[in-house]
Amino acid sequence: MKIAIDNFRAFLATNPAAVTGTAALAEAVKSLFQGFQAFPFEGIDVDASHSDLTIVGVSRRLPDYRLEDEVKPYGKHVSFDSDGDEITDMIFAIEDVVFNASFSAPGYSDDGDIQLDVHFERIDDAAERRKRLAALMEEVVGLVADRVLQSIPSTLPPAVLAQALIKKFGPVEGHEFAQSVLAAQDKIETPIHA
Amino acid sequence: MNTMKKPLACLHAFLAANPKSGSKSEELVSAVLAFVQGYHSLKFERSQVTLGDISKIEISDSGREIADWLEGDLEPLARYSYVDGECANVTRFVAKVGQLVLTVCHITPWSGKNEPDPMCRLAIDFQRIGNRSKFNTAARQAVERLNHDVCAECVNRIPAQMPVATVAEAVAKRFGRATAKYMAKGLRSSSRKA
Repeated sequence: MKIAIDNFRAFLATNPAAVTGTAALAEAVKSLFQGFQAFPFEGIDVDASHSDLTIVGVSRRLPDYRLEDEVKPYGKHVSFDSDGDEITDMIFAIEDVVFNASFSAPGYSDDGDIQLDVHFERIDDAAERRKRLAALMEEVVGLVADRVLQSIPSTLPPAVLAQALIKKFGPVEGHEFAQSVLAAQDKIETPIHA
Repeated sequence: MNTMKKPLACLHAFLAANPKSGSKSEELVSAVLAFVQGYHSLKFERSQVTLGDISKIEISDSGREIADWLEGDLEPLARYSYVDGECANVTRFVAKVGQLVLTVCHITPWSGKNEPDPMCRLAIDFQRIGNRSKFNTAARQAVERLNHDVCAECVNRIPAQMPVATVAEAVAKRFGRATAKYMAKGLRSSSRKA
């Protein structure tokens, strides 16, 4: 794995023109992930903008410790979606490339392979890069919150749910929570469950 | 489907023929167990716990479909199905059969890749109440308990370190405008009380 990262670093050093959206950078990212495991992937899909990769057949061990040890992520969240799939979201940077990686491991199916969706951007400016990492992390936390909430049955009585939330967050945060829920309503144009 | 209804008919017949069998009586426990056994060809292993006036039967290796069959016949008063914090599929419901209030909890544990089929667990709490008004109160309380338990379990899965505003937005998205507003009101009033 270290070799794969070193190769990727060498590529970045010698290819300053391989910016976000170029096939060269997408190819280097593909090689980077391929270098993380001994066996070949079953499927790789690169989107037209060359800034997103979907890889099927990633090793289950990859997100747990191998990648984490090597890249020291800016942030990591593990959650389960409503289908029981285990989703590991990881934000990290290698040199000036920022990664938003999402590993999806099927929970109930025996024949499912772990899928990796990775978004990457090359950002020169260090301050901009830090800002982007923070923004991506915020985005991921929002996604995780949505995912956790999606697994809560929508038919639960709101008053009982409110009591459970106040217990969880305490009275002070509960008040802030109440304000935030009201504020959040304005952001939502179409409610999912009316 | 008729064969599915037979166990329920037997339970009704037992209740009619044994008006004095209370919640804690061995014959009623056996009748409830026979009712569940009627849906399944395997011989169950069970344990029984008595909590006040409520008896509880716990069955390991209950099979995956039994919750669906029970639910189909019993027409629950309240019912929830969700993925819990350990990624198990959980179905919980409250139903009435004659003078019995039943609270059913069925758990299908998460099965990872290459792991054997998980052993499902079924727990049924039941209480026999002759007095119609007390019976209705007990049924309502069982539904309230179920609502509280499911809410608490689901809310506990929200990571404690998650920003309140993020969770609030997810709640508003998941439960919609009207519900979010209701929840916010409930939270504000709970905050004042706390």
